[in-house]
Amino acid sequence: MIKLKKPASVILAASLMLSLCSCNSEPTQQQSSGDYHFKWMDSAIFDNVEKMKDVSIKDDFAAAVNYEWASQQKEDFTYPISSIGEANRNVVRNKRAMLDDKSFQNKNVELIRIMDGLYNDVAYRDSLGVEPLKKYLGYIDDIKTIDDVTAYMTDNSKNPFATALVKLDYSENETLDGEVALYLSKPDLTLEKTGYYVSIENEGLKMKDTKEKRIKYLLERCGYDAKEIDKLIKASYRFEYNLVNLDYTDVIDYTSVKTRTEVLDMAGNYPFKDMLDNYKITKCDRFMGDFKYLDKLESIYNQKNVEDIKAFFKVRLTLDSMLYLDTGAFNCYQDTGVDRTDKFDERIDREQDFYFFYLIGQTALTAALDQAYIDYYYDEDIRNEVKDFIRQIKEKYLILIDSNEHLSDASKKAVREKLNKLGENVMLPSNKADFGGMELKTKEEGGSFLDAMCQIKKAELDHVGEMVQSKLGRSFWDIYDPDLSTTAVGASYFRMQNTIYIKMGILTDPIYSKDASLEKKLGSFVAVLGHEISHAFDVNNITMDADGKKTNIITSNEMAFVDEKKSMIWAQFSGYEPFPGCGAYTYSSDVSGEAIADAQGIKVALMIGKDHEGFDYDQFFRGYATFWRTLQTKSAQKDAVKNDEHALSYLRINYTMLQFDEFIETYGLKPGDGMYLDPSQRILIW
Amino acid sequence: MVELIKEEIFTTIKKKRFIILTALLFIGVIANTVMVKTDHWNDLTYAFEMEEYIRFIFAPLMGAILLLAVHRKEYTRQSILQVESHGKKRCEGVFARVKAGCIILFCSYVVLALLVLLLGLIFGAGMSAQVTGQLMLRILTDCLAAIATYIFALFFQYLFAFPVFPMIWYAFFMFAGSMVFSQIPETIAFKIASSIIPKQTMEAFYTGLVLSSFRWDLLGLLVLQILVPFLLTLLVFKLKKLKEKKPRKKKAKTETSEDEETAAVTAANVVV
Repeated sequence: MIKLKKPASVILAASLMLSLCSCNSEPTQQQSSGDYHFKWMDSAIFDNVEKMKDVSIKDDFAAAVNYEWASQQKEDFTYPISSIGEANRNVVRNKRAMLDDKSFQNKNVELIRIMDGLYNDVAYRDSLGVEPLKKYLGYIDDIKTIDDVTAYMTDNSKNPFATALVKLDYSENETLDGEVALYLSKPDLTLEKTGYYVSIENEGLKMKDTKEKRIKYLLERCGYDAKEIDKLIKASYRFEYNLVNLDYTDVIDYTSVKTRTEVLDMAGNYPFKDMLDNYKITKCDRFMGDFKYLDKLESIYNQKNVEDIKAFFKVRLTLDSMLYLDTGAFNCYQDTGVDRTDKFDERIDREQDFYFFYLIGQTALTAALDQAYIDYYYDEDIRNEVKDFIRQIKEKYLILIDSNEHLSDASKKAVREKLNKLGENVMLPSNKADFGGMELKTKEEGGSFLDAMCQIKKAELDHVGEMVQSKLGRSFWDIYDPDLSTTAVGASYFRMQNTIYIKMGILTDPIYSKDASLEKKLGSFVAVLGHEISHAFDVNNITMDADGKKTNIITSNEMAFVDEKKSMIWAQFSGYEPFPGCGAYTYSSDVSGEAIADAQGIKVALMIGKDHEGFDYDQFFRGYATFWRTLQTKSAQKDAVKNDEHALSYLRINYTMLQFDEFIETYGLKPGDGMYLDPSQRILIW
Repeated sequence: MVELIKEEIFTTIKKKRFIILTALLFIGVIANTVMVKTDHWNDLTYAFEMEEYIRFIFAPLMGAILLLAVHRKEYTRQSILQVESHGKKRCEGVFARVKAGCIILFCSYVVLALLVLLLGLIFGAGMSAQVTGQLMLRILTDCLAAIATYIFALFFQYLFAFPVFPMIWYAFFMFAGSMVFSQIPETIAFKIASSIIPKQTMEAFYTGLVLSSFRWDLLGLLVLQILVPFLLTLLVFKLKKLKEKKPRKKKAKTETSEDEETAAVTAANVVV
């Protein structure tokens, strides 16, 4: 035993050193491509476009089909270079055409035109410089007592972003009854994630570096000297640090709902009642969120902390204003947005209109814009066609569910019920925008974007008040919700509502056109519909019932076959690095849910296609590859590998295609071809 | 006491394995700098890469190397013999060993800080005062965490007289431990984790400092994290009984190892 001690110690030390050294090393291309079907080239970066020419369809479908398109693209990222990017560009062009059409008049479009004047007249914005910001910083300087803090938080005319120490929103309650409640949370923070205030890590330090540069730039221009800025930033951090450490849980508490009396009791001397009254939230009796935080907030809401609170308000106002000021501020925002530690990252400038509509889309005015867009462009025929495809997809899913050999009859019944009760929100939100009382100052009247924000933010919170005091249906689609803008190019499935959202944005050329062939439609937006519907039964959402409540509708034993597919995908993706320096897929970057949904989407689209005589499979598969064609920066790809639960576009194309016999038959594939996958390795669960 | 500490320090740092492995770690700092320089170079990247090197390689290995170096054959027995040879009490022996280890660790971090600054200067990282400050703070807090973790590891060293356990303890709590527990979002679990892992405590302390908040409570916690294992170490050392060493049959050797030399010296001292 004694003889073994020394060698054992040395071996352990050596192995520790080796294992630790290997922690940072990334797997090489050779190591990662042990699984044959990942021998495909990364056909989504410009470096490989020339190489795509020599690739055959049998070995790398994505590269071969998209070579011609890719070779015509320039490294111009004004819009994302992809079908989705093109659709984005078309939506923006449509919005511009709508604003330019002076024959189209109503309150909503009038508001957007005022905002357009304030933003897109760059010379006017530049002439204002940082004056709008200085005006609102001045209001914060006027604060002397804790009562002044209360007055500031409840006076929207002085507080453009309605900054307060408790943020108000509304949200469904997942575990109780699915009804909405007023959701309370900490305010937005300089470092964005509360976790960085507990353990800052390098990502937090990076964020700190970026934000401080922005604050310094703007405050210097507002006449603050370096010492004052430094003092202000430190005071703001100190206050934020104290805020977070009142209760640093990052997890949303969906498990409890409290009454108004309980919440007001918790708030103590924090003027929460004044906040509620300001937004006319007098009848709401359902509150949820960060109660521990609210409970402890009064301990720091006192005269002693007034200066730190003021510093926090100033920092928030400065950061929130950045994109609404002049060209200098915009350039600072863009320059500091580049990740200095990423050698591939570089500044990307989009079109001016892209930013304008993006900024509108971040506010409640998104409702005005979307309502105007609907009024101008909505086509009932398109909605009917989409609805008809959804009906067909549901029929196909019913067949797949019934033929599933892993599920018991009871489970099949529950899954069928979930499918039948699936909510369908197609193109049209449930409510209409109403900004009847809003009067914004135009540029001719000397208005500014920040002045407008005072009213817009007030309208947003007034709307939150209305929502929490109304009875909403399960699939209610709120037009005021920036995350659910119908003009966004996208589609989604909401687990808590068991509802799909198909937005007008995604039904835009080149993803959708009325005259396209059936094959092209099935290969693009119908596959998306199938994809979204399949999320109702994926590994994460199968635990929710037909009403979006958390109850396992299939047993854990039955879940085993889903888990098996998931492991298979993990094994195939893990360690794969698209290009040297990109970083590899790891077990934590779980693309399995989306990979399965992609394959399911194509499966049902194929089933629909089979019903039509003379269905052209080649055109269908090419349609899918065209739909997902993409060229992106290496930095964007690096970020996607690390953070996106969707696989990179060329992997989405190839990995999905090789799941199907029809694909193999269409192109005469055989074992050894890059696009051939042994049937035992397929990932379809339905 | 000073004599004892000196002897402990010199015996440790003169060991070939300590010299070679420590040198390798410092060469690693230089190699890391060159790699960053040739790949993607600016102050923030340099600071981050260096911080990663310190966190994942330097910190866990430095302590492990030290534990390996202070280890003698029949650890406790010879430690006792060494203390008694100086006519000192056992607790003074523990003090001496702990202090010696802390001094070596502290010095290694000072050398590391100087080397990092120097390399940044030589290679032209153009580090701002803020980035430099953050990096130096990181090294200082890591050093404090290393010292606290080392003392706890020393307790295992005395308890088992076998360096593998303390090395695992040290490496885990300086490397994996802090990472695993930092992922726990729940407040109570996080607090418990913070209260037993010096690395985690110092991570929170560092975060506070960077965000202009000095946390006396965390500093107090660190003192406890040092005191408790120290007292445990003291207890173990005090309670150990010195057994008669049974002569072992040895094969004929032409060379004498360092450990045996140390043993011979201490044994001679006892005789004298």
